[in-house]
Amino acid sequence: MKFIEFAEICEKLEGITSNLEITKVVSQLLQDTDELKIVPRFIMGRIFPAWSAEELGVGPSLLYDAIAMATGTKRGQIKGVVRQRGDVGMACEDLCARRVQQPLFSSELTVKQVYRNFKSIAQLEGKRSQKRKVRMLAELFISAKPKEARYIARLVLEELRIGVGEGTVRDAIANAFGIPVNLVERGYMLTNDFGLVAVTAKEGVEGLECLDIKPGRPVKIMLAQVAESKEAAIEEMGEVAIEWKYDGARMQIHKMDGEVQLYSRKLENITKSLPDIVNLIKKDVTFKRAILDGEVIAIGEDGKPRPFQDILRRLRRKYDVEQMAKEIPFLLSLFDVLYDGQSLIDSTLIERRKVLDSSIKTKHSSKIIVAPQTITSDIAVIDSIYKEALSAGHEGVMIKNPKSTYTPGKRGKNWLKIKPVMETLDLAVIGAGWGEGRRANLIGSYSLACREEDTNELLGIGRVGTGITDEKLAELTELFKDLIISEIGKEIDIKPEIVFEIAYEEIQKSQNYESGFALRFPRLISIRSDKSMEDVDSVQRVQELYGKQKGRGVDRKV
Amino acid sequence: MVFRAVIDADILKDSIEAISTLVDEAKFKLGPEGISLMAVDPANVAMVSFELSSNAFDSYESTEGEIGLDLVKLVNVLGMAKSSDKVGLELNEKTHKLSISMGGLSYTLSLLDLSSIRKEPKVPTLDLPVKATLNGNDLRKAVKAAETVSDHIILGVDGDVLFMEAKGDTDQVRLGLTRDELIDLTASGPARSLFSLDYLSDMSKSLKKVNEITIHLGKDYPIKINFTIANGHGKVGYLLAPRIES
Repeated sequence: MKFIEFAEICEKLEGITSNLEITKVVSQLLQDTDELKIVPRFIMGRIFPAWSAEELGVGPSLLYDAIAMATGTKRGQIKGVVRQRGDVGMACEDLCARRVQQPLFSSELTVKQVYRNFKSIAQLEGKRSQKRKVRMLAELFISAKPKEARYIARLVLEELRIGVGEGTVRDAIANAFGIPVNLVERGYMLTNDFGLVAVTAKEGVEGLECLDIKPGRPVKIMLAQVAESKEAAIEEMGEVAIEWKYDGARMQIHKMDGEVQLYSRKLENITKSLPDIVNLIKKDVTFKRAILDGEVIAIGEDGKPRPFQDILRRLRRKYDVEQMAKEIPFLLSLFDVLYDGQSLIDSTLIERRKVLDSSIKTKHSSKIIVAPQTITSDIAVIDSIYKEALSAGHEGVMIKNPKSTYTPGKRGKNWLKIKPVMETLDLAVIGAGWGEGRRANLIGSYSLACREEDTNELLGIGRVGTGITDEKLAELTELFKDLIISEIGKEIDIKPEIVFEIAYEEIQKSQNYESGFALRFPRLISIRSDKSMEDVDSVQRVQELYGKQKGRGVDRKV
Repeated sequence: MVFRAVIDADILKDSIEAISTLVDEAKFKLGPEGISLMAVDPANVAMVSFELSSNAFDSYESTEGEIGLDLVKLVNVLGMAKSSDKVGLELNEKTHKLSISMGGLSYTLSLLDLSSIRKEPKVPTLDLPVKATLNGNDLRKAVKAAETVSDHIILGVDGDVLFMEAKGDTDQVRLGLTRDELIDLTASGPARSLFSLDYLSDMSKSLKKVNEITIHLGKDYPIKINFTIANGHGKVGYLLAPRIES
């Protein structure tokens, strides 16, 4: 498929608002294309399968370098054009139309070639990799027609702005090949790759039914909702399974005979950073092949969990990993099993738990445990476990439906979490502002956003600035430097990629921000590098917290 | 396939650096007569062609074949050599490695998979009206001066003068070389083209030690830069596409 054909369909979609119409066009695209592995991802602005650890590693900064190289535009002028057009894609289109550097020869771009270059870029490592990434990307822009440049740039930033999300692609695959939607959905949950699902769907229902999880290909983790109340949970589930909610980092463990791969909650491969955990799995897990779900916790000398930042310091570390393993020893607490030689995700929690209990050799090893679980319908028991967890320094408890299956990627009602009411919010950083005076070269404040649950749209909720030291500001400025999309005066537009954990005094109604809420006295608690945009708290959640806090406020006054 | 050779470290270094300014990985053709290569930079803007005859080597033995080399690594390895060193090269086809020895050090460098390297480009046939021969350092000087005011440079011929001109937002610089100051100049038509200094400055690094270079120019056409290395036993040719004058 020629890339210009893909670009033209994107442009067409950009002008359509009806979801039904969009699905129709995408469905037609999937029927027509000969790149069925790639197109379903591209059309929703993704380059690699969601399970893959591959990333381009190209932010706005390198993208602008490539556009400068390919078009012969001065690097300094690009942000101005982006600001003027209000969109990176449109700006790149303009710049390619005004291209001054001629190529010796150029070729017509195909979807395959664009993907191939992206893949090479993702594989580059090492000290000269930045420059080589820029050159590989420039190669695409050199051959690109202006319209193609618009969508290449947006693909690079993984935001196509054509209103096609996972739901659309799922429905379009179902439409295109006459397959029930729930079967497509199931295939996607198990494989995390719409490319694979589409290719399989084209061949018929049977293949799709056979798609399953397998060690080596990470599965989206099952997520928990905040519980309305313990009482409501018991009412709904009857008996419930209670576990501590550890203050740790979620981890998915894949064991393939002698090989072990570890994935973070964002499904990043973090195996190399945690050789101690790898050894632990090799030594103590009885299954030859397995997928396990658990949490790593760093326990301090006082027996309490160490600050969460200490865990993050280890997760994606490249150097001194052994040293760090000694400094911040981890405890691995397993609480679920998805695969033990065969898929277990359709088994109930009780059944999976039985399998899990036999998963480790030394149940009393100090480094690896199966998280204790209690089955009860007694509120008093839940209360006492909750108090124990809090006094041990953990976050709260999980209430799980013992009869539930493992539903990857779903924030369903079968797993509920109970935490103390006034909690922090995980918010996306969408903008920033340069500081004043002494801090003029530093980013002094950050604009935050929560997420609209249905559309994943990011809605502003406030700014955080104070409470950050100069040293921290410099560190943060460095972190955000390559994510700057454009600047107007002191205001910076940031590519949403980083999640801040924010504490606050109070949530207030506000007309100033798109979410309709604002935070009083927000403070930055930590950078949640383990969380992605999908983990950003929703405006619905903010609304809920707002409601709860109102009640509390009245109590306080009385 | 057999490849075994000994060469002055300096000659090898200059040769590899002339290529590595444009590409990080390259496919070399080996044969009884010598080594050659043709490569285009990732942005398709510049091309290098390279030949090194077996006469450039102290000893040389090779059958026909191709090898892929990571030039970044190779440059690093050669950085360890003293200029008076002799470098020994030997291909081990079984292990898919090139062993490099010099001054008691010996390295083994893994060869790159040939299929992972970009296909060799076809040389565009160009009929360029101007041919000028000049001292390599003159071009280098012009490029350096231009860089102080702009990121692009105009090269052209005005009557009997080969000129190089750069205009920045506020400043400009011009270097004119008359026929007397050049080694040779023939012009059968007008020539004036604009080039990116980013590329020209990379290319002109190799010109430091070159006495005589030949450049070919046209009107809004690519520039060809040819020169010899290794005491006349090697040839380097660059081709650089122009920018459109706005």
